[in-house]
Amino acid sequence: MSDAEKLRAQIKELIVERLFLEVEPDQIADDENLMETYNIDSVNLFELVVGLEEVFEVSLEDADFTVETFSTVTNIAEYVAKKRG
Amino acid sequence: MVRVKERVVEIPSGNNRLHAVYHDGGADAEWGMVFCDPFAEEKKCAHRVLVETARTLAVARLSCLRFDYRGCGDSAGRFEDYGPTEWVEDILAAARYMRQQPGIRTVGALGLRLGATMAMQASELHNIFDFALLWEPVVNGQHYLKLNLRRSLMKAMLTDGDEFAGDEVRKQHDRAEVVDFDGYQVTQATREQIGEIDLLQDQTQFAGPALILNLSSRDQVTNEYRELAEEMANAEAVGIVQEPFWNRIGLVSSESVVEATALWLAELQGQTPAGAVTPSRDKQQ
Repeated sequence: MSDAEKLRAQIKELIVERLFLEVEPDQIADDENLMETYNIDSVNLFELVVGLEEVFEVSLEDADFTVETFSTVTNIAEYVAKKRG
Repeated sequence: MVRVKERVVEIPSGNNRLHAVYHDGGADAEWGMVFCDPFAEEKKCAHRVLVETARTLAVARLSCLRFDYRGCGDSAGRFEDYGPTEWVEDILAAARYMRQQPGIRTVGALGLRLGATMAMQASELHNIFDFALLWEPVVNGQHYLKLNLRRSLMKAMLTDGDEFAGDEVRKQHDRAEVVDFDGYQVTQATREQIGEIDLLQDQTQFAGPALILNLSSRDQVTNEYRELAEEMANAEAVGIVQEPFWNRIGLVSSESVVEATALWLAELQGQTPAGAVTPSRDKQQ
């Protein structure tokens, strides 16, 4: 498994755990629209951002927040990877 | 199902009266618990869980007092006219009321989020609580405000779509006299008071037994709660898997947090004769 795949798998686990979803992490497709499929609202998104900061020890900038950044696992992974440097 | 007696009471505080509900633990109840609500929308979301907790504890012969801060819920006054300074006074007024109830000899606080923080602030001013249960307390006010800003940004981002202007939301939170926190008009003075909170820096002197419950998707304790527990003379921090019901509008199971709370209290009651947690306490404080 490549580093990018590992990161996406970790993010899927975090999404399921933080949002208390009743699906298995590997059931989430990399490019699935999270907002539409899992009805992610602003409260869920908030939990997700806090979780990303805690688990990956990155500081996310409020100015970076866009719907697109959090729309798919792939986009979130790219954003986290960029923040990790 | 065991039903406990509940009655609506009014408690004088400052220039107003607090609306409160007393959950009577029965004629032989010697322990009382004052519930300290969280802030704004978190209070609304947590209401059902707090009522259920009070009823559960009352069945276990622990009288509970839930109340609305001045300007909140069914208490008198406008929300914008009050802030943490007055709400800490309200907690003290509620604690005094509880101490005056027949048979009650030991009084503790059960606080959620900012309510837990204010319970600690109240006990710094007057040594009024024998023990404390702190559910996910706000340790750092600046961080708490930052998270509230984020919540507003997320909401604006999802509702405004292409017209989302994050800079405007940030500016409003930084400078506006009144900021909308999910429908609650929060004044600059209140934000400043919240921003000054730093429980780790303030080194809380609370000496009674205390349980800090870290409620999240993992049964782990964050560093800040661990440090807070270490600072307090007789506290422990425990991680509980619990969906953050104070952020949820829908029905959320609160079984784990209520169970952990009841167990800790039963253990404390077993170890400690009523009234003997802090023997030097002055009931007239």
